[in-house]
Amino acid sequence: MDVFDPYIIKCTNKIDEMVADGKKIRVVMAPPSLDEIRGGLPIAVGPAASQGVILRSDTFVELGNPEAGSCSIFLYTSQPSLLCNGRITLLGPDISDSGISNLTFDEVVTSGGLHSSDQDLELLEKASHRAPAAKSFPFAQIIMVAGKNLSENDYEILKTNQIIGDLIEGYMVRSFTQNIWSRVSREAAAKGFTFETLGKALMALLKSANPKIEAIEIAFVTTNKHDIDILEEYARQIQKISKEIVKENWKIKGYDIECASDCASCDDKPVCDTIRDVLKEKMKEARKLKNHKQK
Amino acid sequence: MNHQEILNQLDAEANDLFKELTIYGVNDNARKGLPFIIASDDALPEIPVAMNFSLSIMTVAGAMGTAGPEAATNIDRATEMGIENRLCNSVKMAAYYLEAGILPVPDMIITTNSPCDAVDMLGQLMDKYKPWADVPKFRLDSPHGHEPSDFAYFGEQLRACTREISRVTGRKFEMDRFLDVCNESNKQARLIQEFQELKRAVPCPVDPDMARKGWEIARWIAATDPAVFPKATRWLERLIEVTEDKVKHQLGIEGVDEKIRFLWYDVSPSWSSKLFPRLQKELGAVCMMNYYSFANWTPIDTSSEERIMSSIAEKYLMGTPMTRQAMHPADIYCEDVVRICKEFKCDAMVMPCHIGHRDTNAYHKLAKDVCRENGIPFLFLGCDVWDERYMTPEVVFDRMKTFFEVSGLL
Repeated sequence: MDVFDPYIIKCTNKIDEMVADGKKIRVVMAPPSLDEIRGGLPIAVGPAASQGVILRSDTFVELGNPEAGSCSIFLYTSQPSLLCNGRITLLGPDISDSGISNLTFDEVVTSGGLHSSDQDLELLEKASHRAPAAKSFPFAQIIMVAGKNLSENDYEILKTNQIIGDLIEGYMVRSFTQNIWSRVSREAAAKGFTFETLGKALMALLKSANPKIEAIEIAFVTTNKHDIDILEEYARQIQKISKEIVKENWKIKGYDIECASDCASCDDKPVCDTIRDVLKEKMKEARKLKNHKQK
Repeated sequence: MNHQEILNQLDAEANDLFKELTIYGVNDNARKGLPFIIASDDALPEIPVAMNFSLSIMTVAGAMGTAGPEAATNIDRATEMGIENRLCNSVKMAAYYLEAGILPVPDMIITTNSPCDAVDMLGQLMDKYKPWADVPKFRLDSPHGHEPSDFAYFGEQLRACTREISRVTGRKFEMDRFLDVCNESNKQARLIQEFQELKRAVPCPVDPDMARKGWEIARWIAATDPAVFPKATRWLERLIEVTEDKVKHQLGIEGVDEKIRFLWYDVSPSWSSKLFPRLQKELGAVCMMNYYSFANWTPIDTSSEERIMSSIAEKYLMGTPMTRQAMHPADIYCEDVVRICKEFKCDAMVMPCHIGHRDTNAYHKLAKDVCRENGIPFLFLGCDVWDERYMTPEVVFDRMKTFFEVSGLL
């Protein structure tokens, strides 16, 4: 059993609990091949796909700002059977659900009427994409990857592969190490960017970066801060394990990470204990010498 | 006003305010009619702003002193006084000010062990300084951990510190006022973080060092002069406005043909004006980040009194430059380096290995190896960020130029 297997089970159980609690759920299956995943995306994915910056004024929605609640979990296993490969689960509202709520009553009436036709709905959606961004969604992202040949040696690189930078058009993850805080641009939203898009983009990027990955499952939670806080507790526990893995990897590379020394065990303690007296003597001598020279 | 005129004006305002951080500023602060407290290190502005007292920071005054005209002379004088020669020169300068008797007597002293042993030593010097024997003292013990229990521990100390400040100065700690200040502080942090995101644009729209200036105004200068605190917000808003406009028009730093973006992951040297502008102009090399322009703060949680103090503690322990890098495990430093390089498209990492940063320098090979694994060219210097005599800016420039050439970046 790999170190994170219990947490894969915990996370999937937690999601099942949330569903049982009546949380809105949407499940999508991504196609198996990279080409099919990329081909079906409404936005570009890969190096320089995005300018890297999304201005406040160009933001359609923010995800996971610290006040709203944010959590990022990354897990790996060497047992692909633990995951449902390609599954993208969304608990809570989708990105596209944000826009409608941004509109004023007049805009809704003007644009969409009573949704009597597809054209009205299209106009409503277009108008919503021009509206100011909603307050941030609470946001949890859970990425689980599996591969028979994945081991703790791969962990650091896997974590680094999650740094998005400019790799997803219309999506910017803010430089914030604590959790995950991101923006979706208006332009991307107008192209149809949803959590399904984000999930598939992440799958494409991770699989491209690491051929050892055989299965990926991703879940997004945007329900409320309370749910995020529960997942954040898992994230804290996972973080501790993560640090131990990094420590072990560095030990294997030859770094002496353990630092159990303290004053009681230090060979130089007698020197430290008398250092002030030594300094006083030295300063006395230096002063004598200076006085002698001045004479 | 065009973009550059606005940026020049912001720069001039910042430089004018920085005088408050020098030894002259410290002496002026003591005469402002506010209770006057001296701290050994970086201090949270929320408490002095909310309680309306002036807090001067010794290490900062020392650092500012290393950029002054008498810097070399005073550093040497400090050594002659018996202050350990291998000590970080910003701390050595601060110790010199103390031992030379040119600091005003404060109403209270606050010392701490963060971010390093040198500042811890400075605090001990201040505690034992005979002319200040009767000055009330408070010691903050910064933990090296980063668990919620560590933040709660430090938060309790901050609470106790405010009680002691009230006792000594007669200033009341009012929660409503403190909440207002914390909310404003969150707003400032958000603005600095916004500026940080804007630096991702290629070319970089504004000299990244403006983030450091904004930070110093909002954190250090506001602590010495609470009246500056709200002005810092407006300064930051103006900086964001002009930077956003430059990003929209895809404009870079004026006069710079950007070719290289690099990370200088340490403090900005006191002789930086002799290095970074030259790197920009002659090599097109832009320093994207240093410790003080790296904004990585969690917001202050104002939901309850308990949460306020422990979230401020978290902000201090994990977000304050140097405390973040020096007080916590090496993996945090290394992860920061990789993340910054990838997110800000840095072509290289320069580790100054400042001679006073022996704690961080202990893992320079770790940082080098992590960079190599991630395909990031790495250079370490071994300079003194406070004393240019040790390794002159010209030598640093030449070494960096050679490094960029050998790495295929030039």
